[in-house]
Amino acid sequence: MAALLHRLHRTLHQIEDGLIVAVLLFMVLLAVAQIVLRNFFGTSLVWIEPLLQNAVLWIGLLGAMIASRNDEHIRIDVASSLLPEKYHPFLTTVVDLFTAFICVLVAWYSVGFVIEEYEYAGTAFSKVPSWVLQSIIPVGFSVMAVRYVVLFVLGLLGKRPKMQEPVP
Amino acid sequence: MIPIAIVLLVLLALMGAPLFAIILGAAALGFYTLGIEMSVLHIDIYQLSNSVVLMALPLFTFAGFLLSESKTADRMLRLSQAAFGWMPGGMAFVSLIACAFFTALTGGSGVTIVALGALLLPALVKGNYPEKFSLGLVTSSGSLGLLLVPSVPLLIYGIIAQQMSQQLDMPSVEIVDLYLAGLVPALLMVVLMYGYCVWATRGTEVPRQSFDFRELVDALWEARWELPLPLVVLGGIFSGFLVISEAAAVTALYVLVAEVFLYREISLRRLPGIMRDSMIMVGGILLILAVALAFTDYLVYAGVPEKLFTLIQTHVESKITFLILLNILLLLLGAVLDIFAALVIMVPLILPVALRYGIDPVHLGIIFVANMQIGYITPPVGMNLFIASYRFKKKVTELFAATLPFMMVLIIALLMITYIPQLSLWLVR
Amino acid sequence: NTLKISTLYPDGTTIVTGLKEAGKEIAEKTEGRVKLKVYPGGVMGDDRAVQRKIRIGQLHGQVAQGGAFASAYKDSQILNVPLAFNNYDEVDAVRAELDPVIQQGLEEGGWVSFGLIDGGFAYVMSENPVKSITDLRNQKLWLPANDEGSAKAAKAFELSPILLNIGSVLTSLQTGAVNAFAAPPVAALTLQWYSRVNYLTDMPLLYTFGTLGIHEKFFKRLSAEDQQVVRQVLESTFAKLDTESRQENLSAFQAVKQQGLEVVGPSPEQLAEWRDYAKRATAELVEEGEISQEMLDRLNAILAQQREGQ
Ligand code: NA
Ligand code: NA
Repeated sequence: MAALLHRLHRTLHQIEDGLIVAVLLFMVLLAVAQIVLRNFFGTSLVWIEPLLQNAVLWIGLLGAMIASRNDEHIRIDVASSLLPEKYHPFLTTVVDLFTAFICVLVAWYSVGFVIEEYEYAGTAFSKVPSWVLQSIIPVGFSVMAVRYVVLFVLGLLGKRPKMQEPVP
Repeated sequence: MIPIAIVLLVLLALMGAPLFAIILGAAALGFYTLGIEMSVLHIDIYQLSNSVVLMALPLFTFAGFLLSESKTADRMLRLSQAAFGWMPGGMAFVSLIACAFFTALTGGSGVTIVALGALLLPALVKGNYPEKFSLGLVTSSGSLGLLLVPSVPLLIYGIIAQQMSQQLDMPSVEIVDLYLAGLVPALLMVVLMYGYCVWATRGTEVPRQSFDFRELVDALWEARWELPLPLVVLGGIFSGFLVISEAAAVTALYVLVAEVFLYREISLRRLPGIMRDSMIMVGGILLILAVALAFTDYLVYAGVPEKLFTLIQTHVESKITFLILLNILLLLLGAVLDIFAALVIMVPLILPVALRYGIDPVHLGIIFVANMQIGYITPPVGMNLFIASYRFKKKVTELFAATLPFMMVLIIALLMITYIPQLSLWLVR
Repeated sequence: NTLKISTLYPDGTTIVTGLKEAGKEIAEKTEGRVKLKVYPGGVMGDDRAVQRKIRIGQLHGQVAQGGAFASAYKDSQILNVPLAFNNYDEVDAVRAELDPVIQQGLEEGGWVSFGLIDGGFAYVMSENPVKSITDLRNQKLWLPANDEGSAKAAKAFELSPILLNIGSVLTSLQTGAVNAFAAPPVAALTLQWYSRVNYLTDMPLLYTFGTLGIHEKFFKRLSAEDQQVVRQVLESTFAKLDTESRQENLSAFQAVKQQGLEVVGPSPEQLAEWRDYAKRATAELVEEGEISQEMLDRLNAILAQQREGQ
């Protein structure tokens, strides 16, 4: 059971990493292709622009999912620099629970809306159904919710990684 | 009930809850009080896919990561030393120029101190500059390029302003205009800082490097693949040949080819890792921008900007008074908020009000980012202070004391930028 | 009961001002039971975002180009058939008969509407004179990105357009990245596009219109009596706005000409070629189920009758 969970965990990481790298590469190549087409062939492809715009959404959520693995999100974080270290576990426990709750809230309503969008059968562009493009939102927030629940549990067990800002 | 929830949110923010969760919480609370279904959060987050310039953010950031992972900083330092080392206070000027360009190229992500600081600080100390002075100079120069193209904070301001522009009776906010407007103020900051450096070191014996033409040519040759980059970006954007997002794509591809295939400083195997790491940071920023869309939607839907303006207008009459208050507010915010957080929270509130006082939105963007630049070196939340403390193994308080005089210089520059709009606008309007 | 209406038209335009005045009148006549709140200038997002918000009840209606409501009633696109009209007399003859049909069709599709607003004809404006289709094919023609309808039309005319967001059109015209576009003169005038082109092709490429749709879900919440008041006030408002918009479009056409754009026209043979392609494009629309054959026949019958009478 533990081994299976571990494998699942690793596979998820690989999927996230692979997807985000692929989306970024496609973004660079498609955008350059569009420039070349426009300036040297005097034309452009209809589907590139909307695809690129949706790629931004996907990069955003995939990046946010990966950042949640070790809780590397932008924060204001005044208390942890003012309070002594021994209170930090209390801070992270409360904060993780809250963050998980917010992610669940968004994921829940997002799933509802995407299902409705599926039934509504709207297309975003060139026959691509819009629910497919939107589905990264519920998926992203669900994964983040799970990760913050895990962080919360780890915090209770005293094994949580330290709260940190993304170090550039 | 509602006031308690607001207090709780503020408390959670201070306790270190991720900003995206706080903003989402605030938006959700707002919509809840108006009886709006929570799916609105999903609809607003999906609006992230509706911006034509946003694509520039991941692409510029990726290019910046590549530059900071290769030896660009060394080449830039060598080149600026060869070009400007002969001037009085030459090494200080070199620091200013190198930092400004590197920050601009890497999109102001805060890597300047990490990448350049380690090279500049020993060079300054060896050049007989006092250590405290050198520490202050390097720490405060780390954010000097924030007003230079292709600065990410300026880009983000532009994105938010464009999202709001249609609702308001305002001149359009083109990203290109913001970059043009930032040129003179950035130059002003460099000049004032340089002036202070020369004045502060007037008593010390700083040996001058003599100008060596061979060294300049060698340094130029060494940087041959990176030198055309500013031309590609600036030329592409300002000629109108490329829109911002396309300039970013060209930059990313160009830097990728230069560092991986021409300089061969980044192996193909390391590339996916660098791409991923850069996108984690971008993901964090994009997520904040997405939830800020939800929060802004609530504000506009509930008519908050109008109410805020009426409130302010009853107390503040003149544009000057408003600008003074604005500077104080932004300096305070810059002290406690991260620059991206400050932008996404404050621009939607301040922009409509500032417009009614007759402030040009492009000028406001420059004021905003110039304030935030100072915020990088003000405690308690001064990104550069943290990074420098981590990098140079010094206490934050010690670093702050060292940066204080430089901060004063930057504040003088800020005041000039704020009260002389022409500094920003004469290239634009 | 507040009806929240979103529109892309900026604050201060005839349409937004008209709507706000109608809102006041409605509030008065219903003794405050019904109010209108207008969100102008696209603050609430583009058409798609707004329709999502209408689905969840954050908003209740929108003023938009006819195309925005096409999914509720496809035949509302009948007025947008390429090169259908020669002049405004023909438009008026058709609209006199089809406006009520479109209005009813929209209502059956879930959108209560109160009449159409004239959007004017879209004309080709370009750096070089465009008389024939070949002329246009040789231009770098701008089309809006993310617009399925115009992309389809371009394909039918065998054009290879350059797709850019509306915000970058002016700079792209300046730098020559594009050098031709098709738009109603009002748009070309307010967005300053006219200043970067030299020629206007005097051929009404496409008729455009806008309308207000309030979703029936929210409209039916009002009492029958209040519904009557809202209908009566908005219908008279929209009739007035229609006339005013037509006037604006006509004077914008003159203004563009006065700004120095040279008006060129296709020769009879060239016009025949245009019409030929337009006919094919229209046939494709029918084939793809975008417009019904029945509705098209009806349009053609009215036009034939009108042209005979001349
Ligand atoms: Na605008
Ligand atoms: Na700060």
